[in-house]
Amino acid sequence: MVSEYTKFGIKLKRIDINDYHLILDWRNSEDVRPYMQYQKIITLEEHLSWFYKIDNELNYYFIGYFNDEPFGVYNIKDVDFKENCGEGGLFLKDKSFWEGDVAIRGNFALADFCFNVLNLDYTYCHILKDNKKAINFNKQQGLVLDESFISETSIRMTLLSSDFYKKNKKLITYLSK
Amino acid sequence: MQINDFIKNLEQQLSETEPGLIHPDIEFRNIEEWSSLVALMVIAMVDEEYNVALTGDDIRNSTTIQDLFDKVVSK
Repeated sequence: MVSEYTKFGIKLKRIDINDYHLILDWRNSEDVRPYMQYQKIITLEEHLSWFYKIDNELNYYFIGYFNDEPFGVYNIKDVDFKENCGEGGLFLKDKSFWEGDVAIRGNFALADFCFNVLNLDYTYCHILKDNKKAINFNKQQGLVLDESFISETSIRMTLLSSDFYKKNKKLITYLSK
Repeated sequence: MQINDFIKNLEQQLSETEPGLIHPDIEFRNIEEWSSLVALMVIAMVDEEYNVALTGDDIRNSTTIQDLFDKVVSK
């Protein structure tokens, strides 16, 4: 299993059982919890139970580091190597990280990991319908609405590998300098 | 370096914001399409056009377009 991936100035480090304090603090904060599908406070016991379910080669949960500072959790989960796809997601330490370049660097690093290391054809994500900021952010990166997915509360967006590299070519070139 | 030119360059990074709506006192976080991706585009633009290394922290520590411009000028 890949334990670390560095790209675009971001180090993605696979989460460890000992990272619970960081993850729980961020995940239960008011900057994150209201925007998640599951909005209840997560206990340490629930977290540990979840961790043991996802600690395998079909789920990749990373803590993102920028200049050695941890700033968020990025994931590709439920990887399907027959369909070559997986579900992406992220949450950040606090809202201020949405304003600078760090969040998108992390997203690009995760996408590159998915398409270049796991060799997936596409990724997808589910977003609450009223989270306009996240929907807009995803569109800017090349994700498109999946019309076949129907839910009262959320939408599904997909990102093809080819669309990712085409849509973001200029920025990827800049970050690769 | 003139702020009007800076604003024109900034507007080119904003595909959904009508040209002419951006002025120095605008709080850039209130621009509807502002995101981390736009922030990175601005950083790349500043590097390309002004040969200045604007950082994510510079953006996080700024409020208005004028603040951003001042950061670029000061570097």
